[in-house]
Amino acid sequence: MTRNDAAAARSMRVNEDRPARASSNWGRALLISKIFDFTAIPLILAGLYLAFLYAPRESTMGDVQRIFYFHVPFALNSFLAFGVVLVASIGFLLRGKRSWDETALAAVEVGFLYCTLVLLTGPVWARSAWGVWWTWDARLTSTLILWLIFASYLFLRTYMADDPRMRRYAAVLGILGALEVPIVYYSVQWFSTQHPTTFITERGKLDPQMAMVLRFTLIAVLILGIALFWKRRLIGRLEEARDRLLADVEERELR
Amino acid sequence: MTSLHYLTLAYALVWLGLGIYMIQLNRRIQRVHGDLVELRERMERAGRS
Repeated sequence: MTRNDAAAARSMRVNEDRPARASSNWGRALLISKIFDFTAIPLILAGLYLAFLYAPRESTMGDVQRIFYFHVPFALNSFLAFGVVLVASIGFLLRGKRSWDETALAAVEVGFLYCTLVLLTGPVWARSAWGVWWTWDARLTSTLILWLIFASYLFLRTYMADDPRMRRYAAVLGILGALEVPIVYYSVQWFSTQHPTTFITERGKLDPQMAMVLRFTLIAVLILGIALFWKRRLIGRLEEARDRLLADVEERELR
Repeated sequence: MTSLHYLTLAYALVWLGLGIYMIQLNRRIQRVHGDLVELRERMERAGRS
């Protein structure tokens, strides 16, 4: 057996082993996804219990203030997701690896979903506090712009042909969107807005029970976000493996 | 409708939306994983013949 034959035999053995190893990796990834599900769902249910039944009734707003126990965590976790988009998009532009791009896409989906929920829950509070569902306040408007940027990111990925050029455009759009996050965050300080920076009780401070519930829901929403991100990222990895395997199968069947 | 009704409606929509998204992701994972298993079987069959 020549050196080349030995190398070919080794390579064939590696290729034969690959499906078995890949199968166990996917099994582990699916198991982790289930563990996230079984962690996130009870935490969210506990968060709902705490927000509705444990947290004290706020003195001026009444029950409608309870929207904040999920409105604020959705907002902060959407910012975190857009932070991941920034890092992954820069990584993709520098390295050009598909995994960076898939990571950015997964983070955009979770961030966009959370941002949508922020825009859905905010008006419920606004209707009670300001008497209107929507006002062109700096915080609300900048959040809407952020939502529109990432909506256009998802439109771009859906309707443009899947090629490296589209991925580069998406990465640039992802970076632009993520750079808007500090504007949204600091808009309540930079501009004169109606949007509250915090909510208060009679003593003028956040009640310890309220603070505890808010911290709990922040963690619950974070874990739910990680669970969704993991699933979305897993889909990307599975699709990539499927495309590679399909090409291999077709090549082998043609031989 | 009172503000409590709006609050309940908003929460219902939030969790309905998140639930649908989670179910859709799980279905996609199952479908792509099923495709992979099928392709692996085809690969083995093609390797044997």
